[in-house]
Amino acid sequence: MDCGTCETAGPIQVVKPDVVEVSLTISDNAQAMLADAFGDDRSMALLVGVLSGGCSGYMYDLQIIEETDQSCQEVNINGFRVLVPNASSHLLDGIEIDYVDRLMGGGFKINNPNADSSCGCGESFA
Amino acid sequence: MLTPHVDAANPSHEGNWMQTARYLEGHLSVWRGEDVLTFIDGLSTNRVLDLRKGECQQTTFTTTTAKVIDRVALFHMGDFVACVSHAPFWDALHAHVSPRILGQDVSIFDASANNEFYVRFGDDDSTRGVHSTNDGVTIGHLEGGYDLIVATVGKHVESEVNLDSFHAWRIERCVPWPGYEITAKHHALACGLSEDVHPSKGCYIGQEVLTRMISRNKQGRTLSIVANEEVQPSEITTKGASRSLAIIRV
Repeated sequence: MDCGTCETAGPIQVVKPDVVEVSLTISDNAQAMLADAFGDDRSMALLVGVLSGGCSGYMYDLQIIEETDQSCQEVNINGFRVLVPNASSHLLDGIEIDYVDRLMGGGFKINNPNADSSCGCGESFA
Repeated sequence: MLTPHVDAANPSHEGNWMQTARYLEGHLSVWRGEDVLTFIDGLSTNRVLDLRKGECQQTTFTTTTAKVIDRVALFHMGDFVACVSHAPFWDALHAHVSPRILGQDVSIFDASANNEFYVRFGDDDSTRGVHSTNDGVTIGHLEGGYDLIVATVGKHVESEVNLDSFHAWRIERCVPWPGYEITAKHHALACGLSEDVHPSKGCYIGQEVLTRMISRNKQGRTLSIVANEEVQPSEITTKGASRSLAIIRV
């Protein structure tokens, strides 16, 4: 194996799912938490993405950000900007963002109709 | 026949008795991008996040039920990570990882046609987990006690024995091999891949099943060296003259 290995190797076809126009909802509990988090500054956005990994193969990735390099679609719900990366849009169409107020296992939760199964902690799905 | 081995890239190996066999079913993919290690780490059993240039490490991709998709050897080459896998399992591995490249910076290239594969085994005290490259020949000293050699096509690597000799060596050391012990029929622990299963790295596909087996000390089956007459022929995974490897119920 040498440097030529890399330069002359053919790219492997990677499955690129179609970009889906995402619709999503945010529960009242989650909206209240977002209002606390954002304050009056609505220039910030909630990024809802998916990464590979976790017990079930896909992990949710929630971030409050100002901007991102990722190609995203923006959904505005009651003044909250929600960004969904196009690369994972097919996995997130129809989700509900909820907030569960519990000492253990609490926090933001994603109810995802595209998930066949999810792991015990709810952070990953298949 | 044993031959004295001199490793050009590491002269301190001089005098070790090693044998080399051609591994015709090797597969080489080149993984490039900033997120390669986190991507592989999230989908396989071993912790590979700390892999650095010059190091090599094995890890196993598993299904949600912890059944093996393939065990791979990763070589950190600096600009990219080279992944040596088992060619008959490549389609399944590709189908497993490909849809999971979402927004991550990961690109995969097939470099199998440019390279040939060998295993080197024998009496060796090399430092494990490192690799060296000399004139197109990369030698990875893997944790299983053998070396994996990836040579650019056209570079001469002397192979004085065939894989049967390697399998005989494996039987005596209980070393699993893809297509024999490492198959989709078994989970990673039953295959003898417990060294690949990191105890505390966090979530990956199959982790819940493997962790439960480890914590309850119940893994169902295990890889063992057996006398041929001790077990049912169907349990033997690699057959030797008098002793074999078998995945048996414990």
